[in-house]
Amino acid sequence: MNRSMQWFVFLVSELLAMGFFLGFMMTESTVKLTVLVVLLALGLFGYRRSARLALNLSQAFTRYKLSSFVLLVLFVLSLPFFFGKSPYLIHICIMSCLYIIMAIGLNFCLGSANMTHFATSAFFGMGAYSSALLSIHLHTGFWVNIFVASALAGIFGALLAIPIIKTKTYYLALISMAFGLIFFQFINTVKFTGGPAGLSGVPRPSLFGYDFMKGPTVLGMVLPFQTNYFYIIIVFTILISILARRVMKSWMGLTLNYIREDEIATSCQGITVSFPKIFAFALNAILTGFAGTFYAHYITYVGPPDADIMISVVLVIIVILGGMDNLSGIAFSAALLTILPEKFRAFQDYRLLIYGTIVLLMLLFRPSGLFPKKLRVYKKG
Amino acid sequence: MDLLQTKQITIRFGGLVAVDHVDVGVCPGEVLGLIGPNGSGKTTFFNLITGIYRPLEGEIFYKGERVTNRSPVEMARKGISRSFQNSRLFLELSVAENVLSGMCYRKNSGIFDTLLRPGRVERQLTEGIHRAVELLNLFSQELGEDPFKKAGDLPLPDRRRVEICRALASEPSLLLLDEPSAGMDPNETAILMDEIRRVREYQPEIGIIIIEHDMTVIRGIAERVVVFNYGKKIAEGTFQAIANLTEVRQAYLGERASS
Amino acid sequence: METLINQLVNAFILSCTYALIAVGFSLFFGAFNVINFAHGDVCIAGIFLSLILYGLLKYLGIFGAFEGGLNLATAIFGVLATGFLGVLIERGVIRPFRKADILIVLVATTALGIIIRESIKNFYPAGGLPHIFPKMLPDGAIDLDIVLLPYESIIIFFGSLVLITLVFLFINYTRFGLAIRATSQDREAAMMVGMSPNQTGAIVFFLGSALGAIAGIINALYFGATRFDLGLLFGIKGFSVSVIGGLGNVYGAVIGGLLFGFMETFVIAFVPEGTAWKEFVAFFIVIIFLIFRPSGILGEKVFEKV
Repeated sequence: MNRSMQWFVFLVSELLAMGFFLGFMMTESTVKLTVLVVLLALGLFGYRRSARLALNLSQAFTRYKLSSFVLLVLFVLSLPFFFGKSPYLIHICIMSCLYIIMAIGLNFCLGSANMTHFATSAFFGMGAYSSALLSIHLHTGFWVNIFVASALAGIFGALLAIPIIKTKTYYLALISMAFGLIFFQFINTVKFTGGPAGLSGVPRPSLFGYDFMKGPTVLGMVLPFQTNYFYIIIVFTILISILARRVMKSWMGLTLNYIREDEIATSCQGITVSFPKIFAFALNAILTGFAGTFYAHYITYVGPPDADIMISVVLVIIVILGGMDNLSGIAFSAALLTILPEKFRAFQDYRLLIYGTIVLLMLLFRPSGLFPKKLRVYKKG
Repeated sequence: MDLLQTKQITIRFGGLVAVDHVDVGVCPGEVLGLIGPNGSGKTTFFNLITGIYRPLEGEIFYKGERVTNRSPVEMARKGISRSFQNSRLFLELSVAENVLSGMCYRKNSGIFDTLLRPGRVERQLTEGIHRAVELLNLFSQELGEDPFKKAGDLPLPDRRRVEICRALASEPSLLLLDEPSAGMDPNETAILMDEIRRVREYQPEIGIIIIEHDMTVIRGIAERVVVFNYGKKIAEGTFQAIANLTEVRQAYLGERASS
Repeated sequence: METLINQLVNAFILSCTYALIAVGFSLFFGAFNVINFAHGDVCIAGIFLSLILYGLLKYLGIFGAFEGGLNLATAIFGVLATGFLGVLIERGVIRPFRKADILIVLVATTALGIIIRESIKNFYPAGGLPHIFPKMLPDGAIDLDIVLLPYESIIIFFGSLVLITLVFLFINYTRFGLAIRATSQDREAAMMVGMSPNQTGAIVFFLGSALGAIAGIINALYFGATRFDLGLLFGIKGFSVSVIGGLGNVYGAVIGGLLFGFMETFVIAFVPEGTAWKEFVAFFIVIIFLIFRPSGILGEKVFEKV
C-alpha cells in the first residue's frame, strides 16, 4: 500500500470510529443502539478474522501515529461541545476515563506480570476515603489530595504486596479478595469512615478561584459543569497512558514479562523478582488510588459501595477482555464496559450476568482477548 | 578445582536422599560430562549449585568463595548460567528478548529514566538487542536472521539453542547444560556438538558441565566424566576410563546384565 | 454455663458448615488442580433449588400432614440437583480448561459464580430479597438441667458427623475413592490403569457440590433465611478454610472448619459488636497463615519440578 492510500485508510477509519462513537453516545433509542452494537461486533469479528485487514490498518496507523494521536486528542477535547445538551453523556465519559486509568493500573499486575488479584476495589476505596478524610479533617484540597491520597494508596499496595509476592498465584487471588472484603467491612462498620452512610462534603477542586460548579461558556454556549472535570481527567488520562506506555516499553516492562513467563528462569538470569512485583503492585495501587481521589472530589461523597469487591472483578474482566498487556485494547474494553451499561439502562440489572457470561465465553473460546498482545518492536540496523 | 568445587553436598526430599555427599569440581576451560541413570540426582545437583535448592549438608565453592545457600539470582550474577531439562524459555516473547534477559540485570535503568527519558531507555534496549542478535549469529545463522520470531513458534532444537544463547548472554564463567540433545536426531546432535565447540572457541575460559544421556555427545566433547547413581558419585575419569567400570555398567544395565 | 454450651453448639454447627464446603474445595484441587471459585455460589444454588421445589409443591397444594417430611424431601432434592449441577459444571466449564493455567480456571469459575449468583437474582421470583427457608427438622428440645438443646441442632450436628465419616469411608474404602486418590496423585497413571478422569471428575464434582449444598441448607436452616448473594462470602470462607487446613487435604478441611467455626463463634459471642468484626478476624487469620504457613496445617499437595 502506498503512502497516500495509507493516509486515506487511516483518516477514513479514524473519522468513521469517531462518528460511530458520537452516534452511539447520542442515540436514545434501544433499537438503534442494538443495531450499532451489532455493527461493532461484526467489525471486530472481521478485524480478527481477516489478517490482511488487520495488517493494513495497523500499518496505516503506525505510519501516521502522530497524526492519529493529535486527531484523537482534538476530537476528545471537543466532546463537551457535542454533548453540551446532555451533561449525563459527559459524566459517562468521565467515568470511562476513570475506568481506563484503573484498567491500565491493573494491567501492570495482570497483563504484564500475570498476577491476578482482586484488591483493586480496596485501592480505589483507599484513594476515595483518604481524600474525603484528609479534606474533612485536615482541610486539604483536590490538588494536594491527588498526590497524598495516591501515595497513600501506593504505599498501602506496596505493603500489601510484600508478603503476597512469595505466595502462589491462586493464594494471591484469595488473599486479595479476602483483603478487599475486609476493607469493605471495615469502612462499612467503623464510625471514623462514616459507616454505611459514608462521608459527604468532600470539597470540589479549586483553581485560582475558578468555580467548578459552573461550566465554561464557549462560543456563546454554556456547557454543563461536568465539562470542568472532564478536561482535568482527560489530561490525566492522556498523561497516564503515555507514562504507562513508557514503563511497558522499558526494562521494567520487559522484566515483568519475563516474570510472567517463568519466574524461576528469570531468577536464573540474575534478575530479582520481588522488586518488580512490588513495583507493579504499587503502580496499580497509585493509579487506582488516583482514580478514587478524583472520584471523591467529583461526586463529593464517598460510601461503602465505592469499595465493593465487584469493582475489582469487573476490572479483571475488562483487562482480560481487552487483551492482556495491550494498552489500546484495554482502554477500548474499559470504555466499552463503562458506556454500554449506561446506554442500555434497561439491562442494568443484568449487567453482571452479561459480563460473567461474556468473560466465560471469552476464556473458553478466545482467551487472548479482543485484541491480542503484540510483540515489542525494536529498531533494526 | 578452581572454578567450582562442591564438598560433601547433600540434599534430601522426604525420605529420599537425592544427592548424597557429592564432591565434584570443575576447572576453567574444562568440559565435564555428568552422566547416570534417570533419577540419579544430576538435575538436582544443578539445582543445588544454582541456588534453587538449599543443601542439607556440605559446601559449594565458586572461584574460591563459599557460596552455599546463596539465592539463584546471586549465583547467576556471580557467573553461573544454565539451560533446563524441560525447556524454560520465555515462549510468548521473541527470541532476541529471550537472549536479552541475560543482560537485563546489568543494564537496568531506573524509574527516572523510564518515565522521563524514554529515548535513552530505547537506545539501551536497542543496543542490548543488537548484542543479542550478534550472539545468536555466532551460535546459529538462522536464528540470527529472524530474531523477532516468537520463541514459542520455534521447533525444539532451535529452542534449545536459544536457551543456550540466553545462558551465554550474561557472560558466565560456568555454563550448565541439562540434556541439551534430548529429543534431537543424530544430525541435530552433531550440529549441537559443533555449536558447543564454537562456544569454547569464543570463550576459552568458560567451564561447562553437561548432563547427557547421549554418549556420542559425551564422548565427543567431555574431557572428564562424572557418573552418578542414586545420588552418589560412583565414578570419575575420562570417558574411556569409566566406560568399562563394573559399577558404571551395573548402574546403567543392572546387576545381572553387567556380570 | 448455659451460654457456653449454646455457643459450643453454635460453633460446632458453623464448623460443620465450613468443613463441608471446604471438603469440596479440597476435593476439586486435590483431584484436578482446580480452584473453583463458583463453589460458594453452587452451595447457595442448592438452597434455591430446594426452594424451587418447595414453592412448586406449595403451589400445587401437596402439603398436608407430612409437612416436615416433605420439606426434608425438598432439601434432599436440592442436594441431589446441586450434585448434578456440579457434574454439568465439570463437563462444561472445568473440563475444557484441563490443560490451562490454574489462574484461568480461577477467573473462569469466578465468572461462573457471578453467572449463578446473578441468575438467581434475576430469574428466581424476587431473587434480590432475602427468603425464608422452611423448617425441616422437628421443633422442640431436650431438656438437660443446665441447658435446652434444640432437636434441630442435635440432628444437624450428628448428621454432619455421620456425613463426614461417610465421606472418609468413601474416599478410603471404595473403588471410587481410590480413583479419586489415584487421579489426584497422577492423572496419567490413573488413566493407564483404567480410571477414567471423566468419570472421576463427575464423581468428584457431584460429591463436592452435593456436600456444599448440604452446607448451604444447614446454614439456611440455622438462620431461617437465605439470600442470593451469600455465595461470595461462603466461597471465600470455604476456600480459606481449606487453605488453612491444607489445600487438597480432606482431613485438613475438617480441622480448618473447626478452627474457623469456633473462632467465628467466639468473636460473635465475646467481642463487642462481634458480628461486624467476625469476617475481619477470620480473614486476618487467613492472611497470617498464607504468609507464614501457606501449606496449611496438614500440608497441601505441592509440585513444581525444576
